[in-house]
Amino acid sequence: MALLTLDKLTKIVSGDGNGEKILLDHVDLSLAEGDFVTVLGNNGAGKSTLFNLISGSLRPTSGRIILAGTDITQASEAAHARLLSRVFQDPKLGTAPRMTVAENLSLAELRGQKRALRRRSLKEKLPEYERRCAQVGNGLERQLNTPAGELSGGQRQALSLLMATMVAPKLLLLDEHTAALDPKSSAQLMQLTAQLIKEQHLTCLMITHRLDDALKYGDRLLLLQNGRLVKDLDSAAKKALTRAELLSFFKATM
Amino acid sequence: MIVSTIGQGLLWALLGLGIFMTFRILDFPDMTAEGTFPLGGAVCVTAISQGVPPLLATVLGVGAGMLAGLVTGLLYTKGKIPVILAGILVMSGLNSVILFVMKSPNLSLLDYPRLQNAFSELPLPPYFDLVILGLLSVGILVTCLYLFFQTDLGQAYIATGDNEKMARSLGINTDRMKILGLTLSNGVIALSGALVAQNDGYADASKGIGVIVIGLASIIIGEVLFHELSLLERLLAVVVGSILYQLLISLIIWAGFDTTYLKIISATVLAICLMLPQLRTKILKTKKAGQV
Repeated sequence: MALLTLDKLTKIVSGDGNGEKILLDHVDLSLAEGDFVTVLGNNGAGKSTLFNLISGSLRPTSGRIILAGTDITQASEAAHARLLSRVFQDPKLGTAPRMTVAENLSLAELRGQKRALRRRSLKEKLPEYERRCAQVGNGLERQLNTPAGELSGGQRQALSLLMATMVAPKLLLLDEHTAALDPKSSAQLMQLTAQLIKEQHLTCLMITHRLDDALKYGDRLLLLQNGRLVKDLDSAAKKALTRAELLSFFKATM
Repeated sequence: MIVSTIGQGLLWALLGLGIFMTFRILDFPDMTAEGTFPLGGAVCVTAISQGVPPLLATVLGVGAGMLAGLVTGLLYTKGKIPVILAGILVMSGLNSVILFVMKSPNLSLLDYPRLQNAFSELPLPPYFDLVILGLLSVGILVTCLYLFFQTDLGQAYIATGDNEKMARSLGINTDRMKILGLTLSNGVIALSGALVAQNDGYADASKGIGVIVIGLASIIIGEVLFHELSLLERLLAVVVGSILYQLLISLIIWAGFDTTYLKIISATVLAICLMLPQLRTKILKTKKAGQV
């Protein structure tokens, strides 16, 4: 059974004039458990809309979203959060800046759960948080008591990724999560991403603008154009794809 | 006079703490405060004058404030009215509620008992009953807030103000957090109103004018004086800020300024305090540039 099924998912909004603008046009997609899928597309191709719909921050105009056997098309964002997590492009969006690294991780441990008047001892959790942060390799483990707003962009985005995978989600959405980082931090974060996906056997959809990353990571590649899914390459077809072919295909869709 | 001013500062600190819960934690200003402060006083004084014991009358005042906050919260989150407008609407409406409750623009407590009378039997110098009442109220509230902010719910509340988008992506119902915050903070503000009214000996429908400035002044003075504070220290800084603000106002009155201009003096003090951090940064930058 598919882990994620998108059935003719469509999003139409009012345009600037009187007309309507189609952001996503009857997208059909089926993801098996453990799939690591990269999503490519130009600006306005519908990538972010796709993620906003799957994560519940937007409601589709028509179509259905079925995740882990549950129809979540009309479910609240909180209900979506019980099943999936998301890392945003902007490092500032994924963390609470005035809360410490440890507090942010503690928040993420309860993703999708009810928050009660229960007091939580962070001290007991620190060794576990330290171990997780040490995986990143950028000194985050030494800054557990530092407010997230004082971290570098790379550290903050690594924290967002750790938060998103603190409790293994059924589906991980990575929304160009390395785009705002320098090449070194970006490579470091992609390594961590691949490691976490493998360790936790996560199903992942990753939007990227970096062609190299799209080719290097993942076992399937989707190409969106003008709100439509125009290419769906399986593992074998993706392996056979060269950078030049992908680039020419990418240019042709612009 | 200083002891009395410190006592008053402690009662007004509750107002500052209530405003802190929305303005600093949830990161939006709530204009309802100007309505719930006199509402707390009006309900409490009316209840006492009807023979209700002061403690229960104070609780009734708090309940009324919480209800008003709940209405603002619902207008804001469910009615999608911008929070400032929702607060102004409720504040404006509360004026009629206050007049309905008191049946007049003001109501005196006359010789009816007040909450601080509970400490009058103790062998204390004058005005110390007020200080004890203030310390007790502030102590209980700061402890409750501190403990609350360490719970899962409290952390979700802080996260909502810190990064709403992230909070929602973690499954936190941010609308519920905003309603909770507005309800609780207005309950605290009404508590301040009820205690201040008992201290003044009367409730007045126009008592709320400018209270937001007083509450903000307490917060800003505390922040200007102390830096790099933990959450508990920030709460205590509001209390210190409130006492200092009341001392400053007393000093202004003592110096012979016309009390007609008290509100503009308060606003000026707050404006200066708000500009101080920027001025300090500019001065430091100028100094550094000079050294280079």
